[in-house]
Amino acid sequence: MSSDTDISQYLNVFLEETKEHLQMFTQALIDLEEADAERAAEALNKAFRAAHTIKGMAASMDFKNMEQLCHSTEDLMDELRSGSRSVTPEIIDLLLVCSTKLEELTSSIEETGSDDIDISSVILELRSFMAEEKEEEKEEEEGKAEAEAVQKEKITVQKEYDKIEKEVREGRKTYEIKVSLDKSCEFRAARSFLALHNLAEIGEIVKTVPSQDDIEKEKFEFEFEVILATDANEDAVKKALAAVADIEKVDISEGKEEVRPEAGARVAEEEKEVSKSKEVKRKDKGKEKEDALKSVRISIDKLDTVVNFVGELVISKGRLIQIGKEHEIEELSSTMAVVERTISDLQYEVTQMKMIPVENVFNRFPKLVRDLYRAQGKEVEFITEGKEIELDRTVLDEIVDPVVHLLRNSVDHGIELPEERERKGKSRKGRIKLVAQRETGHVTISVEDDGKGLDPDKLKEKAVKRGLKSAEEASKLTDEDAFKLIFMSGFSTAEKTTEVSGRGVGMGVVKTKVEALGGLVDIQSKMDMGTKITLKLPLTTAIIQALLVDVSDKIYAIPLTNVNEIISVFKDDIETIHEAKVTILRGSILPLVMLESIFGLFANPGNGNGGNGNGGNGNGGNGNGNRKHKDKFVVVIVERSEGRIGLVVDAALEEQEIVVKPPDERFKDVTGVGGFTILGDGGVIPILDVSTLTLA
Amino acid sequence: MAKILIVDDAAFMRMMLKNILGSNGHEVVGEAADGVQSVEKYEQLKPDLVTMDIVMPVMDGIEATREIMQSYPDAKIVMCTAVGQQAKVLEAMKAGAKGYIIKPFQAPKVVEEIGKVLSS
Repeated sequence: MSSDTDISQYLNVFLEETKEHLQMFTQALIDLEEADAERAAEALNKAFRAAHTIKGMAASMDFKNMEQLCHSTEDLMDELRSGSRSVTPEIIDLLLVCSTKLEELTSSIEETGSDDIDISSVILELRSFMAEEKEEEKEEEEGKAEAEAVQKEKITVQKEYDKIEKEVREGRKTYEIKVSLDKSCEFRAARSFLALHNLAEIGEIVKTVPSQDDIEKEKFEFEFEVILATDANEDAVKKALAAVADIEKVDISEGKEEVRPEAGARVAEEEKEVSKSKEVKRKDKGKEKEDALKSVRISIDKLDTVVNFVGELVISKGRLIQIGKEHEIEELSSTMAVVERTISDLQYEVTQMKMIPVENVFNRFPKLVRDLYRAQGKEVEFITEGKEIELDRTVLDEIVDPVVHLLRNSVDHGIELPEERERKGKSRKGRIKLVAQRETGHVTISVEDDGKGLDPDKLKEKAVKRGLKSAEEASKLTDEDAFKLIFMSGFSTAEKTTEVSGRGVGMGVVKTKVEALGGLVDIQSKMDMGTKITLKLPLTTAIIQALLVDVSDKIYAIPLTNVNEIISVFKDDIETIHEAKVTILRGSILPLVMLESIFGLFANPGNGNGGNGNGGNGNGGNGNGNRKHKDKFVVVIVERSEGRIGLVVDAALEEQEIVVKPPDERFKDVTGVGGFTILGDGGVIPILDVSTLTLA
Repeated sequence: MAKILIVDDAAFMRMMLKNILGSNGHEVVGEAADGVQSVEKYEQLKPDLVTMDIVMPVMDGIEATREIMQSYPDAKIVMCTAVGQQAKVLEAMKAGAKGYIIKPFQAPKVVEEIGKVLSS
């Protein structure tokens, strides 16, 4: 309706008529149950009409729920009317449920002006009732009809060809007319029928592509072609089509003189085309139909909303469990055990819904890689594995750029030119492997090449040249540490940036992006053997498993993906090297982070920075603030791209599922905090962002 | 300006259509609430165009279209349809209707369709 019309003026009429039709609908259903065959058909038609009328009105008033419910009800009744399904008491019951729901919707509209009532359960019930086996039958029938059509088409080809020839002989012109319908056109079959009908009034339709039969069955997109034999001129053709709405474009060309061989050949070719495309279409259609029946499309936004709600539920669940424990309410606790299970199932399912196979992005890469190596005169065999591995859609979207960058690096800097490879005794053809793998709690995506590998000495040299490390620092770096230099911002390994890999994100950005998702980057390389970069990614970002730790009586959460192991360290085993705390773990140095010294400010402002000085701990933990006299510390070893570090905490409490809330404005720039979560007791606690923790 | 007969069993829909047509320079000369009424009114009013609902009691819009077309082959009938009625719409076109408009009605679409059909 026109936007300037006030919809409210219709509301009363709408309500009045809807109620009237609803009553009719309900009465008809009751009649239907009791009636004999003849009167049953009448009752059914009556019910159908009532629902249909309400649907039209609801649509006009933009009451979507009401429209949808009427529509689904109509669908079911259509099956009853066509006889493909017989009326059973269950169906009557279901239709009566629909009528009750429609009444509710009407009252809601009357009272609140909106039909915002949940109708999903009724719709679901209606849908589950609709036959699947019926669809199959239809499909089969269609298949048969199509096969017949192909056969028929073969026979008609010769006839058409004769016809064109005859038309030309008789001096009538033939026009090839291509009609394009507007993309917004509804009922394309009916619209095309009108167009063909108008054309038939000024001439004779020799042929259409697709066939008229297919056009009527709407087996075409937005275009069809017509060969028209007529005495009329082009203008008349145009005029005939101008009287039909929804036509976007008409192309008319006059048939050539020697129609005979050309048209014959063309028709024959078309025939081949048609039967071929039908073959393909039929296959696609069968699959599509199957898929369509079993799935619905939901926007990611909607799913995210559901995920958030589930998150809230998880939090509330925690609270309830806590209350049960505190007040020793036996019944609540036992009920919560059930609720807990349901919620975790729900959470699993919802998370599952957001998962899509990595295939969705992996499929773009072969072309990208190919374009890259061909442009550089290299030869590469590109292999992908684990396409079926699933990842959260959000995570997957975020890692596209990083993976593209890694692939570019492999082609650009990893794989050598064929001649160089030959000199090294390698095959001319390099190999790049992109592999997705599922591991407990996370997924890894790795890019591996058999190229020249990273040269640690060169990397160190570069780092010094760029002023990122002092010569002394650089010389002490192990090979592994040297590889990690490439993640530092301002570092570029290529002597000169090539057209492809020079722009866009650097390795530093790859690392930042992956870590922002709660993942980490690992790099392995061997000179002349190749490089393997692995991204370790969480399955999902919204709800994660975390280890809760106690630091000065404050609780913090550490994402479990980061946690490697938990150990105890005696105070005497903590050493200070260059003002940094370390301990020796199984023969290697483990840098330590005294969480208390970082977060001491939060925990106990009175203590200030000085009070919890590093020295104090080393000296025997002689008590600052809440720290008890201890000679043993709990160290949570976490993994990050730079290597493992130990977080010194007072106690590791428990593993728990937490809902990640992004940090609010005030904490956005606080390093080491990646977000917040709310615990069962309502307490808000920070989630540690292991990747940005600074070594103190 | 054309003289138009509106056929729909719902007064609500008639009201809406009347509003759209009236504010776009057409004159609604009559209304009918079912197929039988529409045939009677057509004979009586000889409108330039009919908007015809498909699903109606007593006699549906397709049957009414057939009847009108039989007596008045030049009649211009535009069907009023809703989504999901492909088959019915096609049947109506075969019965002689010259166009169709879809509920919920959008004024520009209605005006365009009626203009096209009147021009034929």
